[in-house]
Amino acid sequence: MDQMDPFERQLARLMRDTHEPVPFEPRHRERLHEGVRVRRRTRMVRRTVGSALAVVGVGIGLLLLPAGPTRVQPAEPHPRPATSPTSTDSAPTPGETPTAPPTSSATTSLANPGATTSDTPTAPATTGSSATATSTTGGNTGVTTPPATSSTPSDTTTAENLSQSTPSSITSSLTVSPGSGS
Amino acid sequence: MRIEQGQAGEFEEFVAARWSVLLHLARLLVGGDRHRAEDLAQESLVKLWFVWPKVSQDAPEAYVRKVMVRAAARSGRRRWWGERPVERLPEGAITGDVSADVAERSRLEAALAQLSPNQRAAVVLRYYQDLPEGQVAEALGCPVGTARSHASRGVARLRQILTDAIEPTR
Repeated sequence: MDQMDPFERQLARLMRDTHEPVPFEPRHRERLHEGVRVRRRTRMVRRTVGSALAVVGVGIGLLLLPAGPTRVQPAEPHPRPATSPTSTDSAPTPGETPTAPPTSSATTSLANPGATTSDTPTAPATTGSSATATSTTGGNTGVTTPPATSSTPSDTTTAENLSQSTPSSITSSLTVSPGSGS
Repeated sequence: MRIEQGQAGEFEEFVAARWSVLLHLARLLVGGDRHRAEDLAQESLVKLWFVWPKVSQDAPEAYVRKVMVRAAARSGRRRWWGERPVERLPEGAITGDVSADVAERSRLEAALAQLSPNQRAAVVLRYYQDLPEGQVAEALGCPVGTARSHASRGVARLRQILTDAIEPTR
């Protein structure tokens, strides 16, 4: 404030000189007290509303929270190997090439369900091993397959499992055919 | 926060002692409107009441000043006050035989009313309250450079408006 020019000095003087003493009257005091009361009331209302909103929010949150994670969905099936062990095991039997493993019958039954009903009776000879093999390789945890003693349930399970692995059955049939030819 | 009886008494004493100065400050900050100035002073003192136990030992007047300056800047930005700069000074409500002091004050207040709220606050704090730039900036809630800019532009504008009023001999 040392470097004030004359105008600034006059401005400062003018601002101070125009100050006229005003006493703090009772009406000012009353108004001040009224303002304090109103503000206190406003703060109390605001605090009450805030608390109520917080309680409602927490209540809604608690109501919605248990409903969330009750649904347990099966995990995505693991990727299966390109060549399943069943096809390689059953492949070397040269005499059975046409009837060929239950996997082929299952795939054909999926392709046109009515066509290969005659092939299914031949399947039980080998389904014992193939059913268990497919259930283990499939890794489909959502379906609990019994140890496959009967043929009918094992067909359905293999059909489900093989529906996801049609390319592997195709490759198995491709690998089988050269063995049978030789 | 609950204020005890003794503290309430101290508050009353402070308000009674500083009312006149605070009202004049408020009047300069709002550009001369007496009713708005009274509202501003009351509003600031109500806010002071709720923090009185905390600030009473430090600097209650600085707190009120800060509240007042920010409230004045806020209310100045509101459109419904209908406050806008004009080229010519308004005649004002002064009629009849008035003293030179009142005429001078009216001229000053009318000139202040033409500044922006921040410029007005910076000029008033700097030249009426005689605050250093740092405290002006703190009260305005802006950097020191911005406060300095507000003050210098405000003074330049006032110089333009008031030169004839302050130096009539020129």
